[in-house]
Amino acid sequence: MDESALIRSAQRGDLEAFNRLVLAYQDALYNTALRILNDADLAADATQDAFLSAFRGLNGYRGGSFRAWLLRTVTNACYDELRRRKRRPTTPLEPINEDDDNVESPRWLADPNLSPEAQLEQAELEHAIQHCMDGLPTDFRAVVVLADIQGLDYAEVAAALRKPIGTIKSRLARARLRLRECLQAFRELLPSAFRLEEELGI
Amino acid sequence: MTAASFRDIKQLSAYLDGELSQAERARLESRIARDAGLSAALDELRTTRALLRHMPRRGAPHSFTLTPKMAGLRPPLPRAVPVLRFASVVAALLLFVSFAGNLLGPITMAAQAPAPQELAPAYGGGVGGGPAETAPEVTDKGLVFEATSTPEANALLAPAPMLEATLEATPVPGTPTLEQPTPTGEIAVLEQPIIPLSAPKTMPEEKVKPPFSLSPMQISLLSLAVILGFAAFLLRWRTNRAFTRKVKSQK
Repeated sequence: MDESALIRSAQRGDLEAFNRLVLAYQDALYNTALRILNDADLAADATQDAFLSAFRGLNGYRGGSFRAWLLRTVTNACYDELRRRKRRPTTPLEPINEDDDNVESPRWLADPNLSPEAQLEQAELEHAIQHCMDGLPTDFRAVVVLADIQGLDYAEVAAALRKPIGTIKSRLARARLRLRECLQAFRELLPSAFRLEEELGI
Repeated sequence: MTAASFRDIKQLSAYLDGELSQAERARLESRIARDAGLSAALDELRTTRALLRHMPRRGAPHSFTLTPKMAGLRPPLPRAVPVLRFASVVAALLLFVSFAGNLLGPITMAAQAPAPQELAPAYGGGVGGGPAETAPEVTDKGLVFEATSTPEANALLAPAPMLEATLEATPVPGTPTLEQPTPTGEIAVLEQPIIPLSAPKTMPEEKVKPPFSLSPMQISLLSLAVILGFAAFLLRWRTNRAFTRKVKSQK
């Protein structure tokens, strides 16, 4: 049974058909939540909430990229979680401008309590990138996760985040710029990461 | 070599994603070829993009499939269930109405008939502080007791004249002896409540019985309410069980 047939069955209340879609997309949704929230348990909760709200609101899906539609539910669940976290802040956030422009370049939030050895350990590629992404405003982070980590095109990202393509283009460029600046701080710590450039032939 | 502006960065970023029109791409490529600054910015952006795109993918830690309970799905309810439930409620309501009729009946009758309290003063009440219903009995016995002296009363009353006689014969000064005759009178009064205690025993039993007895109609209504309610519950339970079995077998 192809995807559109499964979606139609699920829209009629067929839970088995919906669960087949869940199995097909659960990795993408979980990975997106994990990269936005940077917490495995919260990401699992957000993924489950997303699938639940997707099933309940499935009749609201009117065609287009189903992946983008599902990713919208998970980004919304992540935003809800981040709002909850903001009400009970544990880490001071870096101030940003409301218009997303001329913001001071974000510094990766190095933990001063960590020893240089520990910082070196922490500076693996994945941790370094995740660390830099955590320094981005949520809207920017969501664009980067959807476009670069999930590999959505601009139209899909725009559909998932309900923003114009121009905004997506602008935010993605700014996010990459900030990540580039942030990752430069790891250049010496992460020689292998930057060797990747040569390995990848880019 | 000039530093790339944000507008340039935006174009370079979209260029890497293949999101530029053919004309835009051609224009940008010619600029990159001429401007080393743009070329360097493009390389940096490309590296950053490649790093992001090579982030390890984390798979789902467990299955996120939904259960019917999570999805809030319920099996289709058999048509008989609401019918049975409604019939059970109607039977229970009728039973309640019949009970209310039983309770209201004696009250309305009592309002029409003379109240028992009104009879008490006729017998010269104030003899005892007991319940109004037993008051006439108490006064009755009291009156009988005073009118026809029993042998016990006679025995109690007997010393009184003897004491009085001795008092009259030998006038000894001292108050205690003078007060002696009074207890005999009090004994007679105290005796009065003792006698009627056994008398009213049979009365409440006859009066309490009627409200707790069920008429055949009430018994059948009660049975109907219970049986129909149970049948509705049983049918619902069996449907739910069959539904969960079906879902499990599908999984």
